[in-house]
Amino acid sequence: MATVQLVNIKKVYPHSGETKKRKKADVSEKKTNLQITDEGVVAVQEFNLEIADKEFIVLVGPSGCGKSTTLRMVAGLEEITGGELYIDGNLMNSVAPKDRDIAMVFQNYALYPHMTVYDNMAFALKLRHMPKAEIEKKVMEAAEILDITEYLDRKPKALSGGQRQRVAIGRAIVRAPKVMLMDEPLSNLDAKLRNEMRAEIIKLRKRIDTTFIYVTHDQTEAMTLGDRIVIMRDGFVQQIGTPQEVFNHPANLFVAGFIGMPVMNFFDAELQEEAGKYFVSLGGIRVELSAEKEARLKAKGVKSQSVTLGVRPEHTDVADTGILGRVDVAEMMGSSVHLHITAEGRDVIIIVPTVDLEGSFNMGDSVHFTFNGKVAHVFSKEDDHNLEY
Amino acid sequence: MERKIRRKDGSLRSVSYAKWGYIFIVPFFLAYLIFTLVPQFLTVYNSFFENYQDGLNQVGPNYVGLDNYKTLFTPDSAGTVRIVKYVANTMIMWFAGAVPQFVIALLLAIFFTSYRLNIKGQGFFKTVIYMPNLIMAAAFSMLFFTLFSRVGPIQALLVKNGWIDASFDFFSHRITVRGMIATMNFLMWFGNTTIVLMAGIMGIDQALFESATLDGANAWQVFFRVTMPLLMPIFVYCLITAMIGGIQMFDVPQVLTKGNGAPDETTRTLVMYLNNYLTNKNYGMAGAISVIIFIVTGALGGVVYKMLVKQYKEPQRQHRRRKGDVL
Repeated sequence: MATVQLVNIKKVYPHSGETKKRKKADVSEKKTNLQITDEGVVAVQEFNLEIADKEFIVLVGPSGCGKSTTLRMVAGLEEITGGELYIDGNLMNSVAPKDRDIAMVFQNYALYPHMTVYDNMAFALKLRHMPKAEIEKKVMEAAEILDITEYLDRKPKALSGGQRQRVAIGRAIVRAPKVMLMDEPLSNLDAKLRNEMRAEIIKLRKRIDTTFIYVTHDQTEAMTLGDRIVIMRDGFVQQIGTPQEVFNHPANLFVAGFIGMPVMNFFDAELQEEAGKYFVSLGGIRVELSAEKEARLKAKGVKSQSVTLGVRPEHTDVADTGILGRVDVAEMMGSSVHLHITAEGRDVIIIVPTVDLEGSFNMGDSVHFTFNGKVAHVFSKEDDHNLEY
Repeated sequence: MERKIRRKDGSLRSVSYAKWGYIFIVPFFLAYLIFTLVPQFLTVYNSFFENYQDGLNQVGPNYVGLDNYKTLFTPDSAGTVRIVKYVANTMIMWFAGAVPQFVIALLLAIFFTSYRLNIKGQGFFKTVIYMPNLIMAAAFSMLFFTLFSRVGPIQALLVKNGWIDASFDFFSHRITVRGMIATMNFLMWFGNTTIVLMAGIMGIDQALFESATLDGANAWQVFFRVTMPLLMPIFVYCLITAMIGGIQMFDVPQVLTKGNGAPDETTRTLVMYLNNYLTNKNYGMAGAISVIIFIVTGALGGVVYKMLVKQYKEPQRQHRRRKGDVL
């Protein structure tokens, strides 16, 4: 239970001798778009975030975006190159991990293989010289919450992946830490177990009532778990907001494409401003944006220009007239059909509910589709930012 | 394992892969049989015979039962059971070298594998500390012999500084000769142990150290509660192989003391004793000593293994009793 404040946090991994040599020899061999300066590779920069007490924050982004590095800096496992980290108002930059009163759940569980489940969970408490009876009480409580009481005398290797993850969580919660850190805790589990554990974490969060920082690359986990989501890319924060905010009002093209499944459809379109009203036109149709959007664009003084238009598959409707496309694949999902079509030179996905659907879609069929001005997002062609913000 | 393979004409023939596997390992087993197993049995067999050369006369082989073993454990005129003395010599010198060997190797292994320290120039340091292992033991002994001889540089230096008297002889004191032998063994082997222990530590999941740190463990607690228990199988392996090597200690003291175990046989090891009998072609006594070395090695190895590994073994019985749990 604590507030966490990250002020202008920066992490630079200095060049090793080998990297320098390699850099000179072959500049083209670059795996990520992380900024490389004379100091080294900049993994995280300009990271500013205030986490409220008992808030559940999710850091999400693709591999190499700096989310785990940020979490490890909060834990004290990575040195902070620049900026300040406060926990409950106390500067933590040079405080040892063991004195930060935080617990962490690792992706690969990190259970001590030579200790039983009970000893794993009691380890931190034993180090604090807590009386035996109290340790037992706390471990039993946590074990009951996580339904692992019957495995307490086993060693981790005699447990399944899901059970191990429960133990890892149990080990963290017995300590009642100020901040609970979770580094992709579900990514080693299969899809079914992951869904179950996700629900467990939501329940657990209500019971243990502490501040959570959760790292994942899975946007579904981010959307379902977080009070707020921090979306990162190439070491920079792209957007911070509630799941609804980042879904409905993506700050830029990257966030729009990253959040939401299936991914948002993008088109090259023209934004036209006429007498205070805004229209987007493409494929022979012209759609007026909603009054709310128009007000925001007007406030920003946005002029007519070429834009990237984004419309989510669930907001795209098959119609008798509209933009023309050709069906490539129709995926039957049960309650809906995911229609993959090619239109305006782009791959487009449309979600068609099966309730009112008559007939079927075949490869090569022509379909028309349209969208509502309320759900159209317009992004700058120059720097990909959402023109509304 | 048998597999059916179709011939060109369509008929099937079976191929036994297992048979070919055995054929491939035959050369090893033949070499093992001829050069190791048979000599081992012959050693035990010889230990029951009187079989030696006395001047130009060959005595035996005559079956004498356990007489050779009795002779080994019979006190000499001074009341000393020689073999016991040599076992003690060997173990003292091994222990004096092994303690710093393992302590320093562990410290270096932890130092080099620390993700926090991230030592630079590791390759260079690893090569340097491994280097003494490549030097021949006899050459090492000759080096020490020269360094510490009465006309050597160390004697001159210490005398010049007034720390020792000019009449002091490093080779006439039990503690200095044993010290030299232990130091040489330490110098020759700590690099090797460091490299093996480093490999062991690097095999431990880094997240476990991080997790322990977050759990509130300080460096010592991480070492004793996480690193050591997980390193134990490798550590025991190093310890037992070092001990086997120690019991077989021969070349360093043999060259340093020219085979006489000076002073007063306090540096004569078991294998030097064995070598003495072999030089006289006394295969009966040499066989008996070999058997005793084998027993001592086996017993000590077993004790070390039991002491260190047993406590980290999983309590499997409890688990097996439960049924229906997902394993």
